[in-house]
Amino acid sequence: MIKPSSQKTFFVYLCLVIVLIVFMTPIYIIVSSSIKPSPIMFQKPPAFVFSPTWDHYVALFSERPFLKFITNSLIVALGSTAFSLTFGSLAAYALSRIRHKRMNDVAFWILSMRMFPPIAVVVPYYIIFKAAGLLDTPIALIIIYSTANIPLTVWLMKGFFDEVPRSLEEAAALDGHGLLGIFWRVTLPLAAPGLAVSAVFCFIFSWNEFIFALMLTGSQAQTATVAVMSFWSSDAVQWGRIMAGSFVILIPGVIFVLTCQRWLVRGLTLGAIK
Amino acid sequence: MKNLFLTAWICATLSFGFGGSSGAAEFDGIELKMLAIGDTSVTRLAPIVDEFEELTGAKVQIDMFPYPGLIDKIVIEASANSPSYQLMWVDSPWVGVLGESGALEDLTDLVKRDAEEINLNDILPIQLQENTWQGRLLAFPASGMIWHQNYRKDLFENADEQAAFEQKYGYPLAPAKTWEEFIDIAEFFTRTAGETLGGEILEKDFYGNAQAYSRVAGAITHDFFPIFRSFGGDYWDADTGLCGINSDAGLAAADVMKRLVPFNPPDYLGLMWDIRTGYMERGEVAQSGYWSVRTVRLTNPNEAVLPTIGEAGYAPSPTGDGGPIETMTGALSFGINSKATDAEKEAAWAFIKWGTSRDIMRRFAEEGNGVSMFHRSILSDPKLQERYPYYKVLLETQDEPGDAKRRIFHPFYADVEEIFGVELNKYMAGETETAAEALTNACTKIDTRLRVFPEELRLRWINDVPASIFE
Amino acid sequence: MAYSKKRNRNIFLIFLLPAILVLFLTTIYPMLYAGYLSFRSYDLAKPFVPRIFVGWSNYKEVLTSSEFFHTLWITLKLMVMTLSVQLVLGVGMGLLVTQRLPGMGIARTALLIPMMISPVIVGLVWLFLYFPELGYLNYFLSFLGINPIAWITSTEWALWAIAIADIWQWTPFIMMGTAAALTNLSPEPYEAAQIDGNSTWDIFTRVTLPQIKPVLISLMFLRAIDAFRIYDIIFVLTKGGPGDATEVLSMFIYRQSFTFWRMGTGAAASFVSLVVIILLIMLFFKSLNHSRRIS
Repeated sequence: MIKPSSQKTFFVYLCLVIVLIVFMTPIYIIVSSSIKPSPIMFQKPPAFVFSPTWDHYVALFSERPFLKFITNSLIVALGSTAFSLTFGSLAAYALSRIRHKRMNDVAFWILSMRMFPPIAVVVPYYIIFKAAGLLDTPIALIIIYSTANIPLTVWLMKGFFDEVPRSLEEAAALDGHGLLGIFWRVTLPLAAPGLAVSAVFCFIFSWNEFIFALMLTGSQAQTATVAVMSFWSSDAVQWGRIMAGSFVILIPGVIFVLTCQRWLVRGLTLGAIK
Repeated sequence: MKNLFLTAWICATLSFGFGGSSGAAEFDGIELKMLAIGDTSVTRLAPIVDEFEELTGAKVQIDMFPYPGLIDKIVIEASANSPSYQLMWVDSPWVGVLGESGALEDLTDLVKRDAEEINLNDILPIQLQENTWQGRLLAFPASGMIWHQNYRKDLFENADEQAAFEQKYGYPLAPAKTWEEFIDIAEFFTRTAGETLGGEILEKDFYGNAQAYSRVAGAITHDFFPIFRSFGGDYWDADTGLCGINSDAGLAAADVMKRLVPFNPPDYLGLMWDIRTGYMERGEVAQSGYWSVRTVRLTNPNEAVLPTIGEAGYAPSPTGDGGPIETMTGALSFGINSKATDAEKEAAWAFIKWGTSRDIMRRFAEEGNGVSMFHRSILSDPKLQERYPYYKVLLETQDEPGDAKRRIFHPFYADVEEIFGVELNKYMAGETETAAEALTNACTKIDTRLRVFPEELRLRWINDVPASIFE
Repeated sequence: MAYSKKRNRNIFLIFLLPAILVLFLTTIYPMLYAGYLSFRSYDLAKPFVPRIFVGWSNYKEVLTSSEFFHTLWITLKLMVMTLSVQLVLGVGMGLLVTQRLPGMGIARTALLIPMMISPVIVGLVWLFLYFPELGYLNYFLSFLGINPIAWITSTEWALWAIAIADIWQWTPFIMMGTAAALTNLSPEPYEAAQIDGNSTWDIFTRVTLPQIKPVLISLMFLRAIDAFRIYDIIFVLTKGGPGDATEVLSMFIYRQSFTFWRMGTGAAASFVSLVVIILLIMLFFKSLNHSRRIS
């Protein structure tokens, strides 16, 4: 790539600063509210300078087994992501490579799995998981989230696989690799950015989902999102606690995204070789 | 004095504890789970459930969930055959839904059996009635509440304000007894920044009243119904069992709310529970009604600004004609899943008895979790009244039979809150022209749902049968 | 030959099978159950109401209710509002954060944070911003001389308030997808285009856009589907209000199924909404293929 001029660099940074200010303000609110004393949580004008309190964070971990809930969330999110990426990317590869007009219908059917309003299937899911003894276990959530995450992975990965040149695969085939080998060694690395994006989206969806997590779990498998929202009670919305919780549960997500970012770069270098 | 009490209390618990263990722990091996909320009625109990295990051998696990969606979770849970939860946290309007579906165990016989142990005569009867469905007591109060008004006592007692008020309205300034007075006071105290209030120049706007006009979870109906009830209105038509809110009382209540709009903060349409109580807690409003479960904050400088800049006063909610006090009650309660096993039910009842007992309640009050009590002896305790001045109001408005009216308890309560939430909100926002139109729209929608059921059933649903524990 | 078409197709089908099997097995029962419910009068909370077969009457009720069509209209309106802004802004931000300049990696991660917050919590955070008097947004706007706006409490702004919160949360989704697609591009066409002396805009429309289009289309499909099911943010911000100005389809289904305990009507509405979104997406597909053929 050609080195950008300094004028352009200035413009880029100017845009970036504006975008960052707009997008980071709500994040600032989360952080500042999480250390704001309750009596001044809301006031006119909003309090920007105040002596911070750690009460909300302390309460988060003392009033609820919050670490356990974060662990639950991690198990569910990582489990569903791994599951969805494995099955989803294999299926996407197949859909991208099979030349048959029916394949579009199959792809559409897979996507349609994501279209049904979740509220309508809460009760039937409750009934089966109850019967299977899976209520209040991470497995129940992993299964449900995968029904939303597999379609997402299939759709995203299909787009990325479509862009991988066949010539590279054919060359690998000539070297004597089987299909799975080609997929694993050639195609998948070339589509690594797509994989990273899918992983991030799957993780985030599973991490944040609320309705199923609320209805299908109890103390054993309750996720962090539900735990944070449980500071919304009948006599008060405990804003400080909720904001502190929101901030804490952001951290694993950010770590996960940072990890995936490395794949994005790797995809770039591999792409440059071709 | 306090130490003495504490020592006595510790001795009492210890001896009780030994008594329990010598009885070889009645409920050894039983594990109970409670489907609950992160409410004060629960959070103050959750840290000490181990004490219950020591006493009885039963292990109790309390799961806390968010309020939005909780009733849905409870109903789904209650429809399952082998329940995961034996104990359930119940908001009193739910007794209709849960009672009609048979989700909750009838506690009547247990209460009668253990009347002495639970000091039944010390409990405000209306708080038990509040948890009653068709004469069956389905839940036991863990926190009783009423709708009452909070006001800026320091401003109401300010000589200049008193004089100015009397000059303008021709009667002395005091906590409103009627809604007309309430509106006068609201108007009187609504000031903009720069004007004086209580001898000081205001830095920001001050409001006469802050109430909920938001439809989020029917918040507006929580403000509307106490007014409606105080005008003598009833939710249901006594002859047909259909919606009766489209009445003179309904129109009068809607009119009061509409007339109060100019004296509310500009975000009135979005005001819901704690955002509006926040105005009182920061001392930015002259008067405001709310459920008594949150009133405790007004006594605590860690949770409210008001105690540091002024003083809160407490009074019953106004009435339509200034007549006898007719406060609206509510209750946050514990119930037992009717599908639990007999042994579990017995242990669950033991837990409810323990967790709502007078001793535990007194201990909570001593520790600062006074919130909203329902034992006469606690509400009338002079030391506690000093700490929680609103206890006087709680006692006065609920002590005599007929003082208070219970909240809506119909199985279709959610429809009422939701539909009236929308229609009233539309009227307040100016989208619906008249109150009559708004109320008629809402009642028509509710009636469509109700007409499916035979009149006999509808009439049974609206009938508040006295709890048979009093027989 | 190892790369023979016939054998490969069978292997590919084996690749496809697990995903299809998993999806089929995990959704078949819930779908059948919901289908069964939609033909019954069924009140979960009230067992005294017989669960009788009522034929198409639940569907009839949904399709004749003005409330349903109102919510459908609001949903579609919201969908167009959010998706169009997200697409333009997201692609722009994607281009921005893939500039090879110092600090971009951090900026890119920071900009993904909105997406990592649970929608219910996003709703709560935006409440802080939207309160007309107590909120941050009107306070900031007052410096620009803008009078307080009743964001969530006026009919003309409430839908925008929800759209803005949703745009804030999901623009990073498009941004990240775009960024990934851009990093995956091969550099040759660019060099050729630059040597030909094309302007930046020309390079973008002629070289970049066609290459990232497939990814963008998948992203937009996913966004469209999720926007059609939007629920959490509204549940917290307005619960459909003021009046019914932000009452979307999912709120309708939720209220029927849970608040009113009319699971039959809720299920019927769900199937109707499924048909609507499938038709919409197919329409989208058709026009896409059509435009592809033309070009």
